Amino acid sequence: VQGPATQEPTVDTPRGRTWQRVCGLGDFGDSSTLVVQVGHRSIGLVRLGDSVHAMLNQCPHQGAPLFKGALPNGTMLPSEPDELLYGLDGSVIRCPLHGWEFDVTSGAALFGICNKRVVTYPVEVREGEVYLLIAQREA
Amino acid sequence: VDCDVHPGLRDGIRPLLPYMTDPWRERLATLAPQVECLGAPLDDIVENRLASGPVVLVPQLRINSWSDALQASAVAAAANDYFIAEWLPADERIKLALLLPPQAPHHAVEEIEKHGSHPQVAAVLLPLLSSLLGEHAYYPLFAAAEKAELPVMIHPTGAEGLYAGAPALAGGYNFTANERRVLMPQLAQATLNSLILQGVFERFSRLRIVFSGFGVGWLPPLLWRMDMDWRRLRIETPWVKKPPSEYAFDRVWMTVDRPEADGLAARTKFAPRLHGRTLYGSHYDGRPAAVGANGSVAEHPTVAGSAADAFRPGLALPEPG
Repeated sequence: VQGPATQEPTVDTPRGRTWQRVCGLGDFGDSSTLVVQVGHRSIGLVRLGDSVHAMLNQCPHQGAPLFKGALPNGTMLPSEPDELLYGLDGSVIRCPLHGWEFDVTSGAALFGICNKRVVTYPVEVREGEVYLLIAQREA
Repeated sequence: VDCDVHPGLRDGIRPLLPYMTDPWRERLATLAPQVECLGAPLDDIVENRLASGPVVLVPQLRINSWSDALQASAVAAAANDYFIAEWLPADERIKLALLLPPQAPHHAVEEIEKHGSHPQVAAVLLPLLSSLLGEHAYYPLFAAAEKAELPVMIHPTGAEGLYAGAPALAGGYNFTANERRVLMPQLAQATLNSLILQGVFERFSRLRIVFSGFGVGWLPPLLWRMDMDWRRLRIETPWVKKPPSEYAFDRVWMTVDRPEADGLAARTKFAPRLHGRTLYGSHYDGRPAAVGANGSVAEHPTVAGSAADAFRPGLALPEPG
C-alpha cells in the first residue's frame, strides 16, 4: 500500500529532529506494511499490533526497495542440524532482490549475514496517528 | 611432514592376501594381481623420503570403484593390517592414513576402533563415493574419527569420473585420465559444500578434514560463493550458524606439492585466512620427477600449515636426527 505524503505540522523539535505525522494507524492493518514518502525519503512502516516500526525503504546491500510488495515475515532461527525452528514471526523484512533478512525492530541484519543495518526511525503513535522522529532537513 | 606419500605394492595386492581370512584369500586370489596399489616401495621411502621428517602413507587403492561393500571392507582391513605389520616398524617416522571402506561405514568404524590408537596412525583415508559426505550414513564414521582424534583425509583414487560407484565429474564422462585429472577439484568443492551445509561441522565439533591431491585454488571461489548464497538462503540450512567460510578456516587443510599451487589462493581476499591451511604433500610414488624431493617445498613460506594442527598431536615427532 502506498501511503499519502503528508505536510502535517510537527509536534515538537528535539535537537534538530522533528516529529512528523506520516499516516494514521488505521491506514494499514496489523502485521502489514505501508510505504510513506517523507521529503525525498521512502520509509517503510511495519505495524505489529498497536506499535509501529519505521525503517528506510532501502536495503543496505545494493539499495533495493525493501518494502516492495513485502509483508513482515518470520524466519528460520539458528538450530541444530536437521531441525527447523520458525520464529520472529512478523518482525523480519526480507529483501526481494537477494533475500537478506533484517529485524524490523532494530534494522540489524539477522544472524550475522552481514554487519550492515537498515536506518530506522523512532515512532510514536498518538491518538491513532503515526509520527516519525526525523531530521528536520528530511521533513 | 610430508602428508602424502603413496606406498606401492608389487604384484597387485597379492601382499595383502596373507592378511585376509581364508574365504577372502580364496575369492581374491585370481583378482589380486590385477588390483593396483601404485606407489613407492618401502626401501625407497626409507632411504629417500625421511630426511626432512615424517611421511604419511596414503594407499592408492581404488576400492571406491567396487560395488561390493564386503570386498571393499575386506581389502581395506587387510591393507591396514599389512601396512601396520610390515611398513610401520621400519621407521617410526612412517605414519599411515588408515584406509576406510566408504561403502560400509560400520566396517570403517571397526577399522578406526581397531587401529586408531596406534601411534603411527595419523589419519583416516576416505575414498569418495557418489553419495556426498554430508549424508547421515557417514556420521558414525566421523564420530569414530573424531573420538580417535584422527583427521579424515580425502584423496582421489583415480576411479572418480571413471567407474560407477565412484563420484562422477560434472558435465559428463571424459575420454582421458588427463581430462579427469584436471576436473578433480570439482569433487573437493562438492564434498566441502556438502560437509558444511549439511551441518557436519556443527555435529562434530572437533572433526578435521584434509583434502589431498586437489590443490588449493579450488577453495577461494567456492567459499566466496558459499558465503554469498548463505546470506540469502540461510533459511534452508539454519544450522549453518556462521558464514560457511568460517568452518573451512577452522577445520579444513589442503596439501600442496609445490608452492605455486598456493599462488592463486594467495591473490584472493581469503588469503590471510588461508595462510596456514596448506600442508606439504609430495604425492611421491617412486618417480624421480616428484617435486620437492628434499623437503624444500615443505619449508617454503607459503606452505605454512602445521601438520601438528591438522593431525593428532605427536604426529610431527620425532624430528629427523
